Amino acid sequence: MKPIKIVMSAFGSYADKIEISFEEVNGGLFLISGDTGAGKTTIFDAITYALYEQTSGGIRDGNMMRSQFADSDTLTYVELTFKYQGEIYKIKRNPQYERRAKRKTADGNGFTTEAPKVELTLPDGKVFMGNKTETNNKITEVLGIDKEQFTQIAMIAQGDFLKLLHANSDERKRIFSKIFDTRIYSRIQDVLQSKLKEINTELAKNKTLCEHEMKNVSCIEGSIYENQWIDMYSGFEFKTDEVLTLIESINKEIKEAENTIISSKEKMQVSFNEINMAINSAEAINAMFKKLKLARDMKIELYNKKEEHHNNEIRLNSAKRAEIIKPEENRYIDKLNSLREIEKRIFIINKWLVDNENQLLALSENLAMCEKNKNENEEKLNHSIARINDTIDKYDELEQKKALIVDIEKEKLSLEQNISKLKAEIENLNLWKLKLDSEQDSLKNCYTEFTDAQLKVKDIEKNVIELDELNKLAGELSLSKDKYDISIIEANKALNTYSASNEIYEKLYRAFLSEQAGILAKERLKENIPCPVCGSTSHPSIAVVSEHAPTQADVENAKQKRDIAEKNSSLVNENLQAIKQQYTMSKELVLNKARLLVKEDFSIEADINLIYQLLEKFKKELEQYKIILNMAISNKAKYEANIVSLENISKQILAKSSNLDEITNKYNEIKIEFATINSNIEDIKKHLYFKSKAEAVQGLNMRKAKLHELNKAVNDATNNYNNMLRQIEARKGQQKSELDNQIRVNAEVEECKESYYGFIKANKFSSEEEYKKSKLTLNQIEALQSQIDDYNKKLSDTDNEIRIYTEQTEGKTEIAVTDMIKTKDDLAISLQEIEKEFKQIYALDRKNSDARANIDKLFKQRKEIKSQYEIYNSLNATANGNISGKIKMDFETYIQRQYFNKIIAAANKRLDRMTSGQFLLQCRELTDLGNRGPVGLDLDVYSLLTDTTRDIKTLSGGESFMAALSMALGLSDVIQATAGAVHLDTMFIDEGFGSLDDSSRGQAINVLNELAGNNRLVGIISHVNELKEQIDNRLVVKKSDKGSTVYWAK
Amino acid sequence: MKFFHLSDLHIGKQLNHYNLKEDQIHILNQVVKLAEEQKPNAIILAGDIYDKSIPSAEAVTIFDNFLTQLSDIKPAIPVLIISGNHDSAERLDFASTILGRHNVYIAGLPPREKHEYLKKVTLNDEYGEINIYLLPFLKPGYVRHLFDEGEITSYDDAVRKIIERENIDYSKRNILVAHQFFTFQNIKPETCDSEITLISVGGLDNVDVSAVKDFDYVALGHIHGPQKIGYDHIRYGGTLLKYSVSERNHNKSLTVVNVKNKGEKPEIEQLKLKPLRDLRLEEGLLEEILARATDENRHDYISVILRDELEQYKPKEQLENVYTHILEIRVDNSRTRSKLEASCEEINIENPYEAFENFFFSMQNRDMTEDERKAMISIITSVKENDR
Repeated sequence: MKPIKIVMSAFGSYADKIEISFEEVNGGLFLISGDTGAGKTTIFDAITYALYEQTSGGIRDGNMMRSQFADSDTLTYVELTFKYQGEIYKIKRNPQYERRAKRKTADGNGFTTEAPKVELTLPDGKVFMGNKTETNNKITEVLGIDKEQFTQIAMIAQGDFLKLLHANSDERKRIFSKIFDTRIYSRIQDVLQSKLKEINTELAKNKTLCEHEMKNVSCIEGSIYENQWIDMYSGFEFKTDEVLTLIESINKEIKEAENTIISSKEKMQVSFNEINMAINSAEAINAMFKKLKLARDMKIELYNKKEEHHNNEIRLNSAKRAEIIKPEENRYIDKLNSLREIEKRIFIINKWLVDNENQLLALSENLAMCEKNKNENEEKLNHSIARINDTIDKYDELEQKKALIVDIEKEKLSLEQNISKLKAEIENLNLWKLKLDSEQDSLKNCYTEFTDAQLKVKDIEKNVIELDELNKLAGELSLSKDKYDISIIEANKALNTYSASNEIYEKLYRAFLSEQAGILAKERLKENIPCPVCGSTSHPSIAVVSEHAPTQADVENAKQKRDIAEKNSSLVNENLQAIKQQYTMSKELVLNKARLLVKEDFSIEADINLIYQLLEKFKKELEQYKIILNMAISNKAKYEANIVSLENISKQILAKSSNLDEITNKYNEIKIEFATINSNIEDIKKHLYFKSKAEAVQGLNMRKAKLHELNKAVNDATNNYNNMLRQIEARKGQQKSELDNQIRVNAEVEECKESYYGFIKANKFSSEEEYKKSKLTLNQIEALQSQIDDYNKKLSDTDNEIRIYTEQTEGKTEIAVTDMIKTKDDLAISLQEIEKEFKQIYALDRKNSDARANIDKLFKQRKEIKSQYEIYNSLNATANGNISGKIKMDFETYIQRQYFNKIIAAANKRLDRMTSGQFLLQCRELTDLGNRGPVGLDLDVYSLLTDTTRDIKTLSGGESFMAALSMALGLSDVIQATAGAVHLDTMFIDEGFGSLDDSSRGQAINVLNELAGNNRLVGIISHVNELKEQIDNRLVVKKSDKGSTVYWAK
Repeated sequence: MKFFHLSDLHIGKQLNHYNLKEDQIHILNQVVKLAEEQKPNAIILAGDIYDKSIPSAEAVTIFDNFLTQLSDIKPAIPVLIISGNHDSAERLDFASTILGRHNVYIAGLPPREKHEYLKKVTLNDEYGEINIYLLPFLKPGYVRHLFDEGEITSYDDAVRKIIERENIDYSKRNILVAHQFFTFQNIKPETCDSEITLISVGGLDNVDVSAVKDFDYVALGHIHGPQKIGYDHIRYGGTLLKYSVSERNHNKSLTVVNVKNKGEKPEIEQLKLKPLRDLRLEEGLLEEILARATDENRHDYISVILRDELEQYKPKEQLENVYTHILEIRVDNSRTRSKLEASCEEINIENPYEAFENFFFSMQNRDMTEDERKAMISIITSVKENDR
């Protein structure tokens, strides 16, 4: 696994999206530097998290991973791209965490939970299909190592590096157990231990059961075995045979006692049965005497109630008689009630009749009034309705005509407008035609005017051009003359200058020549030196140089000046000749032309100004004629245009005149139609009453409704009157029948009354009052009857009993049983006691026999368990390192020692380099292990120099770091070797270098650099300054208020 | 033009916990004495003046004394100093302008702005002017901003471009002082353990000498053994002292260079130096090593490799009794060799039952009984089944 790129977004101390590309390092050592807490370790955390869903510190909580600096828009996630075996994988993962929602959520608190997600992109670019757990498993499968192994070998964490080094054997075992998955061995240990525990429990259970069963064994009271048995309790498990023998003896003793009790119990039962029979026969006789006495007592009691019995019989008799009269009485009362009812109804009817006869009168009057009203209005309304119906269609006709007249009027108006418009147009056209005709008359000479002007202009133009040219030549001639005049003056001046300079030169030359002797004498003649001219050595009279004698230089100078002047003069002269020639030619040209154009006797001296005057005159003339020409051109154009216009106008006048005739005809027709329809409308209007059809319909309906109302009032009044009349007649019928009823019922009442009194007399009651007193209800009669019957039966029964018991007791006497019962009770108690005694001893017997059988079984079981215990105890003690007097090394540790030795060997290869062969690490030999505490994975320091070993804790800080680093590298080697195809090309070392001195640090860095080579990535997280200078590849983490940033130092 | 070419003083360095203060003062005094005798035209210190970027007070004092002694020599000898990878460029640069007025020319920092150039010191001798360019130690990152994007990708680029932009007139006599890892067409100089190599991308910290071959002499620092690299006129000065056991056979000396006419080969002379204590490797039987001790050599720094097969009685104490400055003692015999030999056998974890059988025997000193065997097999079987 070699990271290529990691992207962290709002992760740890990084607020924004941070991207670190490790490709810049590609291979080798790099340094991660930065302030404390800036997030150096976070980089490794992010890698671990991406791979294993938790940080190197084991944190899984997304809210803890999320950067506190992150704003709500930034999502927390880690994206790791890494290379494994040359293939590129990518993992994107985010934890579950809460962040402030972008939008307000429904519950209003504005928090939203981001669900945890992971996405693995495989080398073929496809995303691995599977849920989170499946993806996690896939990642672990790809890497070949799990999180435990990864963090142990890919990261030597800050402060953690001593853990593996200083761990005791037991702690180391726990670490190895996970890394090398030796858990199967520890499970074997665990199973052994629990198996042994199980056996122990079984033994204890067996002991409890035995104890329980032994408690079930008891002796009879005062047994000779009692003390012996109690002694047997303690340590019974070691004397099982003795226990069983003693139980045998105890049981035998019990059996003997049991037999004795049985025989005495049988004897006692016989005596008890005899006395019990005697008591039973005596008690039967005594009972009969008792019953006889009871019967006689009853007889006396009945006798005392005889009077009361008789009265009851009389009362019953009179009640029975009264019972016969009862129906007659009831009939009489019913009839009486009917009569009262009828009388009440008659009263009500009479009252109603009085009230309603008045009402009938009022209704009759109302009816008469309604009929009168109807007769008055009916005919008038009918007539009106018929009239409206006749005229209703005329309204429609009127509306149609009105619409028609509006249309016609509109058309009439538009025709009138058209006629006046056309007339005005024709008028205008005629006016314009007149105007154009007069214009044409004035323009009829335009063609001749145009030709004349054109010729004239051409003539003058030619003159102007020629004169203009001549004028220019005249100007040039004047310039030429000026130049010629100046040149003459210049030539004279040059000649004068030359003459003057020549004169000066001549003069100087002569003076110079005349002074030659003086000059020679002055320069050459010295005393005693021969004269070059004459050879005389004496020079008495030396020629002297006059005061103003010119020198040779002066002469030369003057000569030069003269030569210049001469040259100049000849040059000027040449120039003069050239100018003169030009002037002459110019003069000739002007004269020739002027004689042609101006006048034949033209003279330059007198008439030169005439040229210019003539030119100006022609120019002015040309201007005038040009204006005349332009006018002629425009007149000509106008004349031609007017001809076309006139033709047009004539055409238009013709067309419009014919149009006007047509429209005027149409207008006259419409005028006649308009008058006809208007008179029609007036006709119709005369015959109509209402303004419109709607009003007519409304009036019709109103009249129909009124007619209907009148008829309805008459009908209603008739109905009301008839109704009332019918009701009154019905009531009168009722009244008559009720009165008939009253007469009939009255007769019936009299008849019933007579019969009722007859019955009272016939049944021997002296008066109606007596009858009513004797009357009883049916229940009362029945109760009285049964009271009488009961008395009679009791009397006969008692007599019977007295007769029977007197017969039976004849010749017999009562017997005393008290003594006999006491003897019997005593016997019963004795029997109960002996029974109890028997039961006790029987139960004892049963219990002891059962206990014996159980104990026998339990003892056999115990033997079995004990042998198992021995086996497992020895296995367990060995596997778990619990053999007394031996080293405490368990099975798992024993296995791990092989890995441990390998790790140490790998570590030593590095350590030898780092420490220059001073010490190595060594796994403590079995023979050197102590007996106290768990051992087996103990680490020692071996001094190569002295061949001695010492404890790992005696190493100094720097030595410890080197040892730990070596161990970590060794561990990494071994894991990668054992996990087969695992290739972990990355390692992070978090601090620790500060404890090394310069040379050790150098060695350590060299080892790491070699380890890294060109392919592996080794990241060192450190503050040490020297490392910053030494390692060029530096990842700098910068802390700020708004989260950290990270960049590669350049 | 005669000058001393020194480099890599590493003042303040410790050798296996021994403070080299005395040794360094001793050797620097020799340099001063030679300067007084030889009267060179200049003294060049080609980097790594101090051993650490933050030198100890003691180290600063040693260097201060050395400079003071040199400046006392009359007529004055210019001293030219550049920073090395061990030095802090800024700290070394302290007061360099002021010192420049007193014949001490220090170049700690490379050019940082576009208008800045290498420090150049022009000296005169009987042959005329000679320009000495001081190129302090640099990493590509130090100067990358002076050039176009992507122009500087390696140390080689950095040095080459920095020299190119100087527009040096090679028709004159020029000397370069530098402290980089110079190589010649993939041939590296002989290195030793005391040079801590830089760790850079793909190890590309080397600069090919072709970048500097046009100078008349190139005075290099960084490599601790005095040697030429590629050309006779491109040389590492080497350290004055042996700073690691791997340098035990080095002939530590002072390089004196004499540059004459343009185009003439510079004359190189190595002046012998006598260190306070030599650094040696003593190898052999304890008895022999002890026997080799003399009054002269027993104070040397020695690294010992003992080859006795039989373990000797307290060898360290015996050696310390004779030799006063022992750097390290190693034992190289069949015992230590076997200890170091990694156990090559593969980890062979037998099946759990067999493993337990062995374990049982080694713990109990007996084999398992038949009952124990049966129990164990059933236990292991059940564990394995549950494991699935």
